[in-house]
Amino acid sequence: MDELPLEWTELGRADAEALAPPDGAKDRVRERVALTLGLGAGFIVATAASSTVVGGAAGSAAAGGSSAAGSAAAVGSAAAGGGVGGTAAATGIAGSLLLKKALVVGVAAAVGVGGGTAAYLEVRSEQARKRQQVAAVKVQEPRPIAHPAAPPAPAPEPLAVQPPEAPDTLGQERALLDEARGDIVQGRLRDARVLLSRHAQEFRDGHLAEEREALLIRLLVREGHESEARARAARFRRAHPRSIQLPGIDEALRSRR
Amino acid sequence: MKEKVQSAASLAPRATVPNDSEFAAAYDAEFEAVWLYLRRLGVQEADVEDAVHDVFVVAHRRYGTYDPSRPLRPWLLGIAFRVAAQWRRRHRHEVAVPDPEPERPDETRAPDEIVASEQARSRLQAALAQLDIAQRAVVVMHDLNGIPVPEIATSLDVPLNTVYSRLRLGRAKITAALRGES
Repeated sequence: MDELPLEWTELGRADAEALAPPDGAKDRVRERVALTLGLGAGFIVATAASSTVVGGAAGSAAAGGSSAAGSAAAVGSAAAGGGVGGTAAATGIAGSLLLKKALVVGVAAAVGVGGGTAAYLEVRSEQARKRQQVAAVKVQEPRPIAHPAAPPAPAPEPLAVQPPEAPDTLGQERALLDEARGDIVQGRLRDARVLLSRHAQEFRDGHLAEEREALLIRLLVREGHESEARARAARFRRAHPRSIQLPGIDEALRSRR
Repeated sequence: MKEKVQSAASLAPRATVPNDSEFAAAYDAEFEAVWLYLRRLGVQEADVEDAVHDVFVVAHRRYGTYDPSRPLRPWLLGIAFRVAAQWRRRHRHEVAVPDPEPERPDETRAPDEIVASEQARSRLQAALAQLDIAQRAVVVMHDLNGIPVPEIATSLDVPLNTVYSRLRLGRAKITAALRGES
């Protein structure tokens, strides 16, 4: 077999330096992998704890004053609790590595704007759940935001109202996706990611998984990830050639041209 | 000779999935290797994040097919090869545009090191461009990643002799390309 010139090895070494991923690429891809697969805190935390912090994120990790392990506890608690306790824990990760990176998988993914945001997201997600279970709980919004696609807020009733015995999973799915759609329309793309991620986690193969994928494609278009959006759209078309979501997807892709 | 490249999206079974921390460790350990492999297979810089994403998504969904008694990297690079092949099919009608120069200057290296590195990249890419993607996949895996031929054969799901053949032909083309330019 022909031997390669000796310089081949040297070229390869230098080439590896030239082609190395830029700062932040590892974290960006990690977020997207987690979102696509609906991976939870175990993936994020283990990864964040074991990775050497990339580039500019190093400063934020140090300045955040919160270790990856601390963030792990916060996210894990929020994901498991899904309620007030989770809210408090999630608030604690403000300024942390996870917050800075805006890792969106998990119930209380951080959005990077301050301590109240994680709690806010938790409250919003909790809202969606209760709205479907009881149709009676009104949780106060931390900040006023119009949700054109969300159903009107139900009249306030006591929390003591019993939820239905069988959870209305379709209703819960619908609430999450309606809210995500509203966020996409309003440009709250990070919030939309959180909600789609939550849907993927809780209803991976749910009734509305097809609609979730369509929304994710629209979200990717809005985020500027056009290549991935088109690839996903192509896969979607193969998987669901007669889907009623296809015109919307095509329109979203056309709007980007 | 030309064999059908299996679609990464069609590698379907979701039988076994890794636990999150296990998959996180794999991601951390292999991210850069997957990235570099995709770049060397010709995936452009603008698309490589998408491609790496696809590799790990497929890997997660196909984790049940991974034999833990074997090294992880060849298996992942086998998936990366299929993703890269799909990417190239999607972009085959596009005119190849060289990657732009890095946006941010690397202040940790001397200018002559940067120039040398860029020259090396350019020479290597020019040489690799002489190979079809199947040869490229083998040559890069073997000569730059140091993966043994039997592992390559397993990861690409081709016979051992096919790997040797591609390696021989690929090396001959690279040697000719490197000699021809100097």
